[in-house]
Amino acid sequence: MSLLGGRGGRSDDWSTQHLRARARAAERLDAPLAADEAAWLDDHLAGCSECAETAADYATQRLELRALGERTPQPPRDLWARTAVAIEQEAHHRSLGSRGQPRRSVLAPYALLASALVVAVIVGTLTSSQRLPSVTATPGASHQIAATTPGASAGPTPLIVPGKEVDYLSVDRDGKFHLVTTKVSEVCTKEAGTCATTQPSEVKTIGPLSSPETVFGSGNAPLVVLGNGQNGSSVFVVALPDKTESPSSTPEPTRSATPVVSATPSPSVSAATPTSTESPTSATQSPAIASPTPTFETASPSVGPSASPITAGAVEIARGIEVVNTTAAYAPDGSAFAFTARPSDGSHGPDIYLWKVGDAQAAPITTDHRSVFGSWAGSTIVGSTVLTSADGQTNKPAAFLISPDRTSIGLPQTGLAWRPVVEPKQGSAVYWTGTLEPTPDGLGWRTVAGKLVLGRWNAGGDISAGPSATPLSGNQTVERAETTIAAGPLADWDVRWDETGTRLAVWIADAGDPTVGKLSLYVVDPFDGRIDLTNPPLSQEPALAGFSITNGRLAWAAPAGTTDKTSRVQILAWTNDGFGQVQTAPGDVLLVR
Amino acid sequence: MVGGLNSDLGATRVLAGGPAVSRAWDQDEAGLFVEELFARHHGEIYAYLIRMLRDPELAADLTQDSFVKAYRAYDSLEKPENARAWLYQIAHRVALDHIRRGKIVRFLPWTGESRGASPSAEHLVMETRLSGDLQRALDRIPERQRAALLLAELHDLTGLELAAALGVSHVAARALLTRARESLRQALAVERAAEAEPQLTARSGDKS
Repeated sequence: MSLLGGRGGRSDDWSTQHLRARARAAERLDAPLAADEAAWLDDHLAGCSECAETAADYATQRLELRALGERTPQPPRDLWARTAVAIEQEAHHRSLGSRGQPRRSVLAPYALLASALVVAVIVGTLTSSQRLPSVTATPGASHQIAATTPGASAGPTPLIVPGKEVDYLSVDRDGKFHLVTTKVSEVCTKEAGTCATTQPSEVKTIGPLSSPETVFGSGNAPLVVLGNGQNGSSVFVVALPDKTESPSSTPEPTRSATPVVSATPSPSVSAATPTSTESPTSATQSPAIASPTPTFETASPSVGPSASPITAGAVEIARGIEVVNTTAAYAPDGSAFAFTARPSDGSHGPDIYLWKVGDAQAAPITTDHRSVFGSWAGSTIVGSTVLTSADGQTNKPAAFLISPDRTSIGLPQTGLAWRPVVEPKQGSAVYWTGTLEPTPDGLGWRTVAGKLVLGRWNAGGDISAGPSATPLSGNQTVERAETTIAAGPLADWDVRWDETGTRLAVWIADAGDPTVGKLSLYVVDPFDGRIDLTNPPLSQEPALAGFSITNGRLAWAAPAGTTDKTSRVQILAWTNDGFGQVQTAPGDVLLVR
Repeated sequence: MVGGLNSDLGATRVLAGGPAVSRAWDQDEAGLFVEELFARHHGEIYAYLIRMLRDPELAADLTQDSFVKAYRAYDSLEKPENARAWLYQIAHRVALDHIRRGKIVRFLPWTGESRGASPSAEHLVMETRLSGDLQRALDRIPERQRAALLLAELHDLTGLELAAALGVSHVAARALLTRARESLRQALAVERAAEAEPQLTARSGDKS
């Protein structure tokens, strides 16, 4: 109840004279009242013991409050040092914003990459992926990577970017896959013009990988290759060859009798499908995976005599599945890999799968058959599921967090959030918000009305940290300070942060062909977490699905264009002095990750 | 060191009401200005944030954020004599923004007991220092009201300064402060009643 009763505080507007007296008593502590009002107050207090007591309380609490001021906390001694460093970083940030214009790609508008094959892997990075439109070797095409022409002149004043390394896979016409390493030491700013193409520094054959579609790597962890087979997707892992073993050569792969382990997921775990979800953010609502009693079952592995032939070092960790969407990732520490898949027999919808490095197989960790992987938040998996209204007419996304061992699950107060990708410090996330509908085959979900946004996330992220989930009190867009990156239904997208959380790469699939799309890089304000959409270092660059970002550089595969009949790997690198770009020579085989 | 921040002259003149602050953002000028601003006010800004948030480490972080934002928004300060209130306004927004952000995401433990986090020794010290029914009562009232009370009573912001710091009109600031006093009175009554109850129970137990 407001003490300031009435409409304008006029003396005749008060609902009671007591309220007026209490308000005036409080106001008199801060400024003298008008003489007539002060006289009225004194008269009232003289005849109203309760109001007088209240006035005395105000005066007393004021003294108590001021007594708190006698114990002034002392700031840490290094506060200025920390602040000065932060301001210095801000100064650099502003400088970059004003002069760090990226060099736009020299590629002309692209056409579909019809003959290329490969995908790459960026060794030593935290996040990377690459999906190809198809993996069909072109007869007559040869492995071109190592045969790139020593470039033309480097142009004026390239930007020095020491220590930027990009690794990728390429495949030749014989189906041999090669891990190619390119070291980037300098890139060219927009002002400097076009750099020479970068040269491979190392090429290793890692053995044929049938129909790879997406490849992921993390440091020294094995490559995870998602590929299409005759009976759906296969997922297998390949140990990285030791870079110190041999120089740039292309040795034949050594075949061995490596046991092939296939996993036949048994996702028929009982779990209620979520329904009746008037408020997806309600504390009482939880995705079906969050059954009070854990009912997860381990996928039943089976050694498949009919397993696809796989060469040395490659172990199949899942088969008989269809990998869903482009979002999959290694944990930040490289200990596990998460992705989304559903059975290829169409028996039900998607679940989140987890493969722990060293395990024989990947296994589903959700069982509601409508959950998809979003990202890692530290060692916790961030997923999203679909909540259907009681009348079955509305499907809304809801995010959740689940520990890899499936012993705990959290419900962040996210409102509507589909496939959230949480930044490393867990202060913000990119997610799609809106409504969903089943795909025509009824096995998945697609976006309908909504938008891809950058919004606030939880700063803590410990799924056991809080006692309860509380619903958003207001408008989600306002509450989470959402910035719209793309509006409307999206066929697919991929979002990745660099390790610092200050660079955000967003790839959005073209509506007509989700294997190609547009890639943008945004600079994230380190203090308020916002991005400047008007002047990104990389804007709407044509790119094949999948890319790699790590601190200081972004790599992707540009599709074949009208001038280049093949695609190239593009590398955008940055330092405190600005942004610059370099590319590999064109080749029939390309890749990136 | 930030460019120009080690100077000890220019910013002083600016804050003392010398040349008006340029509206054009200048890196060196902004650096000098913020350095001087920090020297004069960082202690009270830190104290305000620690009283609002009751977390020394967080208060230090947000103090840092406040000065960086001041550096960034240097060109938005029209009158140098308002620098203190302007700085409080930034700190106030930083604090409310953090509090709001903290409310956005909560987690529901699924199985097992919540581990929770053990409070740091520093936090415990602060708890002791600022403990008592008054501090608990302050924590119970709405953040904006708490901010108004702290700024008015502990940081001695005048009416116009308070309005500027809170980002509201003078009338609205006064009304907010009035509501805050009443909210605190009621909250204190609740705290003191709760504190008295165990004592009464104990006394009745002694008699029986």
